[in-house]
Amino acid sequence: MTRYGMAIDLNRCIGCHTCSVACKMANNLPKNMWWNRVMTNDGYTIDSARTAWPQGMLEFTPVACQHCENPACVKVCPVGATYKDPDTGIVRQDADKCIGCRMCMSACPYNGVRSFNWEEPAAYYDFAVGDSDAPEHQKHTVEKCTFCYQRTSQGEEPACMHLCPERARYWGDLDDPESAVSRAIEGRSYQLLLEEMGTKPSVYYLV
Amino acid sequence: MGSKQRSSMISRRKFLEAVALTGGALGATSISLNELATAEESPQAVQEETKITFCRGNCGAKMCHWDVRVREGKVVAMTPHIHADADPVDKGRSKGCLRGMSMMETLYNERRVKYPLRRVEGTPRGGGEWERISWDDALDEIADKWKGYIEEYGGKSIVRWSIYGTAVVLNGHYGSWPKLCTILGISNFLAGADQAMMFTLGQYLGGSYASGCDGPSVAQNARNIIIWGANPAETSPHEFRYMQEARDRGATLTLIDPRITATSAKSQKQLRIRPATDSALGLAVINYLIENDRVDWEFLAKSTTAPFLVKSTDGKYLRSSDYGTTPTPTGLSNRTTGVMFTDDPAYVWDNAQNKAVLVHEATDPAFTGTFTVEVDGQPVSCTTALSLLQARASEWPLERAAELCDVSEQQIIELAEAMADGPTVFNISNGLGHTVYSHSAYMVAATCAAITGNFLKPGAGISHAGVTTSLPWIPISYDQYVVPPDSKPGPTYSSLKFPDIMETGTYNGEDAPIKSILVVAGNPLSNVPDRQAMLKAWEKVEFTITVDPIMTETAMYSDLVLPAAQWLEEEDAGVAMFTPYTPFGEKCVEPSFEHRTDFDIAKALALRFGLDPFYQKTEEEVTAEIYQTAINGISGGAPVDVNGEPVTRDRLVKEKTIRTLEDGYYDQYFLTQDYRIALYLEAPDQLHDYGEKINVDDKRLPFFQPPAEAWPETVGGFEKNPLAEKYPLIFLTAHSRYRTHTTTGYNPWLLELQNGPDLHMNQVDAEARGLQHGDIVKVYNDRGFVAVQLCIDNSLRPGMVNLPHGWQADQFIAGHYQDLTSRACDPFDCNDNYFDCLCEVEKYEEV
Amino acid sequence: MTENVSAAKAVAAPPVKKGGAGLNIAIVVSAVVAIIGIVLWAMQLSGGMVQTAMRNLDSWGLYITGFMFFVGLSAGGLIISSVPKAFGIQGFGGISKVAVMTSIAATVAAIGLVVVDLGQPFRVWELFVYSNLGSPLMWDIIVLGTYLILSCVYLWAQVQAEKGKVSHVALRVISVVALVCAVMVHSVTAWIFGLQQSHEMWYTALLAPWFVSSALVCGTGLVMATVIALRAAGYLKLDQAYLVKLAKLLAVFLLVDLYFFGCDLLTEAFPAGSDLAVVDMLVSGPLAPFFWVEVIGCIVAAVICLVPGLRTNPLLVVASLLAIAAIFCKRVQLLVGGFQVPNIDMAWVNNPMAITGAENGVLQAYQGMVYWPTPLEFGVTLGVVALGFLVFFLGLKFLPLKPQDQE
Repeated sequence: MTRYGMAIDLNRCIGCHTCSVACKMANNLPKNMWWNRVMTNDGYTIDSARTAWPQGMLEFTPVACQHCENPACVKVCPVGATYKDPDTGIVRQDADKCIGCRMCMSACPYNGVRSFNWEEPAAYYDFAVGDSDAPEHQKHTVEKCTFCYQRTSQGEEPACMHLCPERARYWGDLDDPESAVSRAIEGRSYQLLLEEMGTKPSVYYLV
Repeated sequence: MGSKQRSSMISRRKFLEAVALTGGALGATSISLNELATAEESPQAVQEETKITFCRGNCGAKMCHWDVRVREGKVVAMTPHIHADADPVDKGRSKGCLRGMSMMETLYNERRVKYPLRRVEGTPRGGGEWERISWDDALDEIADKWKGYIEEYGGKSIVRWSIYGTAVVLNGHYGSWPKLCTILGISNFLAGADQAMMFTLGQYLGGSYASGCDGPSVAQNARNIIIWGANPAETSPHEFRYMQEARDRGATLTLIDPRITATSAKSQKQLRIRPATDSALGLAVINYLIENDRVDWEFLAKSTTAPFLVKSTDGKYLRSSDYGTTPTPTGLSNRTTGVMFTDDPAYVWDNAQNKAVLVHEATDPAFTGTFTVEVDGQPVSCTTALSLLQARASEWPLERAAELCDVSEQQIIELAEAMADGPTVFNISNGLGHTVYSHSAYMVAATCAAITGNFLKPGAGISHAGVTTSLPWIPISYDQYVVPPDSKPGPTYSSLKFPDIMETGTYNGEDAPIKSILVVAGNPLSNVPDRQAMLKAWEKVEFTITVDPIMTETAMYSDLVLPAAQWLEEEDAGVAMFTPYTPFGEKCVEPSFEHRTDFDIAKALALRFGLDPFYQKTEEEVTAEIYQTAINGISGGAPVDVNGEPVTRDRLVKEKTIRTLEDGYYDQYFLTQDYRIALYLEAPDQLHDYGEKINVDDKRLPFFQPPAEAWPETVGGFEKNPLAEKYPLIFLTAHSRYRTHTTTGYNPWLLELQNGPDLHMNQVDAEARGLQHGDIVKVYNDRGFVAVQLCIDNSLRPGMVNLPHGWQADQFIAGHYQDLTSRACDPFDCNDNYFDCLCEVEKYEEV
Repeated sequence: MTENVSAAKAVAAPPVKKGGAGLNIAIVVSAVVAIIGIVLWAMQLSGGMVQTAMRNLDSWGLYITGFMFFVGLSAGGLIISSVPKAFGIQGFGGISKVAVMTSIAATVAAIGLVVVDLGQPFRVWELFVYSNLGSPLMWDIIVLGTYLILSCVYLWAQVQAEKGKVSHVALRVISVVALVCAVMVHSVTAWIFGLQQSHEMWYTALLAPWFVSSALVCGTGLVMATVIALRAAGYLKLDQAYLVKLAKLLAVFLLVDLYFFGCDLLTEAFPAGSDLAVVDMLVSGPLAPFFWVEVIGCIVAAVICLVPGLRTNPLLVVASLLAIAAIFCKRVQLLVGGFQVPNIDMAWVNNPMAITGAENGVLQAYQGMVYWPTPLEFGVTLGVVALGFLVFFLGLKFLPLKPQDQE
């Protein structure tokens, strides 16, 4: 059984946001929608430091759906619009089914990973960009990172993985010890985001 | 590449990988897969084509190759091109960042200029009222007016103003427009933007900047990396990767920067230096290195002018010509200054023979000391270049420098030791180069690298933004190509002097009437300092034209705006190489509206001047010929790939990218007079002569002098600028990761990531002024003001504020950040000194 | 105050009518407001929920606050009415039917508030086709639906029992079932929040019993206020002794609720860990006004109810309204507070969809109250509440809700 996962080397990540723009483009995300957000650990905004001079540091953590093994969102969805793909371990979201109750957004501990289309999804261009089979975006439904299901289902890597400028990202099957992600984790110390929530994320942060 | 069907069966990216791997055989692959896909005909099959292009964003680490995915005539995605020969795991030298990725957003930007536009008569410039006109009307108008100006005032009354907006062979900054301007005798403005670095390092190293090694060489060999006045983690992410690899291998990254940046967290050490004191720091390091015998004597003897004897009479090196020989030109010249090199060897003092001998005859050259040599029967006192350098550096003992630079003595020692413990690579950029005397910072940087012997070996050197500028091929510029033999462009003016020219009508004592300005590949009104003075001068120009894909701030102020094709709408090749692959971009899509390439526009205009004989070739023919006639910048021979095969347009069309440089490249010689780095400039050149001469003695060796304006505290015996009573804050406009200048400035994806223009200020400074995060503030000085949001940012050293660079007039709440900056400059480099600026900040109240 | 007293005196006046012009006006007014609410809801659906103040990081707002609150209100009536019957003890003087009617009205409002909160209300049918029985929201939908039906049945059964058509045993069985269901409704509603480990403030086992106690507080408050008003309006007669009984009961509920609050605060504060942020936020942070209104309101209400000399009609009304307001404040604290402490305290883009008031930075948005509704939300909520009132008034007009001996 495949269990897709990702490792992100935080020592390498410089917060360039190339992965978030790649995600935005590939998935034809509407205005103000970001599935993959590079967060600034200690800032008032993404480009500032909070801690007093000169102790502050500009460090970054890219956060998208953690594709948990024990996802909080799947359990609470009343209609099963968010579900775990048994073949890949990917937590998916069916926009056609979503009733827009936002129970999943509230249940997910990783604040902001899930986004609601608060208005009719608006694009900047009058044609769809990104993958020809990128997911559709529907008003008043919840959406989030799909691990680029349109790509991964064909054995390709997600858009954010395509040439990280710092080579900080690793992808693959966590159950396959030979995969790039398994080898990246092997022997490295890592952190899981909000591990105490017990969600068992599939994204490993190498530290 | 042929077009293909996407069906559920075939993965597009898989397919691309297959194509990339098969290289030359891709035509066949494409057909067979097409047939396969067609056979599987599925209703949702979408036709998608992939083209190649390269980014011309001018970030310094430029020319990343991109796969451009085109669907139904539209660019739908851009993904970094994975080079065919790249390692499948780390993808080799393939690179790209978010700025390049947003290139398609410039193409489809809502501020795209769609048609030729003329300012509605009677409305003011910048009023925003336009009438759409035909190309013929636009070009006829230009031709008519220009003919009149040329007849009455000469070609020099028209000025071309370009600022590297697009550095390609046929279009943009280089190529077609310069060619026409050469023929018509049109003059041009040279931007001062980065001249402190380019012009200074050019004189030291021979190239325009940098002489070092490539990324893989840094990653594998460097023991120490000195990042000085640079923030590569933000501005050159694709090249910073190699420094991170080096660090993870065990190298030490030392950052010298007054600010905490994204690079800080990735560096083991940082010297949070007082702004604009870098040259004092460098002089202290030089002094320490020489005093403690931490210099590379072998390198000094072989590759620098350290032992050369300098005559006390004229300050020049004692050379063969002093004894009556006539120097002959070697045919080579300095790429930056254009000064011809001659065959005129210098003398050194040979301890073995106890006399001055030609440098190659010495067995034991004296590095230090003053000696008396007879010249023309007269005794002349001569001192070695190193002694002169040491005398200058000895003015800066550790203690003095530590106080001035606001770092500890131990930090200076560690910095010096890091340089000595090579291979050390110096990542030098423009951060330290925007104050009036900042050229000296580059002098010390080059000198530090030279005396520690950090050149001409793997993992060492000066690398701009993490790359070396060594060029495996140098195209013969189109501007020098097929022009009448007697044609000569008009004078080159320092753009900083534009207001003075319009005021006096002269430049360096010569008549300088400016009647028309043509802006190409640049957005000067948004990027040149002291905008109010520039606007006043601009108003005095009779006829202004901007050629740009985007309605830039400068276009807004023009009388005529011509819609230029965007990068993705034209075929072109790069003029310089910051990539080991030949930069080549296909025409990916047809222009969306009435856009035309610069090649095409310039040609149409040229025909109106009866220049038909010089415009007989198509774009493709010219590109092909330019490839054929290019020179290999390293060997001087033909431009060939890594296998020795010539690089041709035909091959590029087929193969997309061609590898021209192997990994691990490093420069193996200096193309300077004497093939050495001068530790002492015997004849420092000045970039422009606008009537003020440099003091040659001052510029021969590095020195420290506080900035002309941005010196708000009395420290180290240097009196503060009294202006600081009124304006105590240093105003910075540093580069961010989202934009180089204004090139990607309207791209919505990137705009979503930014909070608009905002002023970053330390909490301490904000509290002292009763300001809070999110307040609208007015940043001002006597020259002007700008109103923006305040961002509390403790990564800034108290006493300095930063408004990240790259915004345009319509993006500010009021005013403009270039209204604050100053035109003050030193005649040596005529540099744009954006950071030599003081300001005060208060809550903004709308008037 | 004088009015109230005189109204109370008027109770002794001759037979009350089924409803007067006042009731008709009330019906029309609430119908009009409800219709305006529906129009506003249509606007919300067509123009997008971007018109609400809710955003990705505070994805629920006034509607769900109101939902929690009205579920609570609905409880009181049914419990007040069913407890005596279920346990065979003396009740509250014939107000049983009116109490159940308030339950029905409040339940309608609660359901209405969930519906207006949905992004895709026309997909509600999916709840029955694709039911995920593991979701607490699904549990709540089932329980709430059952509860509404049961309340109606219970009301019908009481009416029928008075006519002798339903036996008292059967009524008693129904009241036991209704009671269990009422308790379940609050527990399950609590679990929608209380089972979410992602919100420190919500994630406590105490939440379910506490929801029950809060429901009793405001439900009793509502019943008390309603019957005093109805008596004043001459709709029904009621012996003051029953009100005293109700007041004593309210006092007990108030004290229990405060006790739970105390337990919760102590548990959060004592380890002085990350939960302390929750206590700070409540006691002195952005939610302090709601916290102190609740605490002080509950205490004042309890004092009024417990001190015999204070149990005057006007003060009892004050106490009931205070109890209701306090629980509403509790709901605001719970909902907004749940979003007020972010799990990931890192900065991100000032994205207008990220959080209410993101203009000055996502983290800045947490400086004040993270969420405050827009006029549209107030309007829609008012409409739904009016719908509840409409149901109640219609019940008053068309159903035999008066105590049997007053018919």
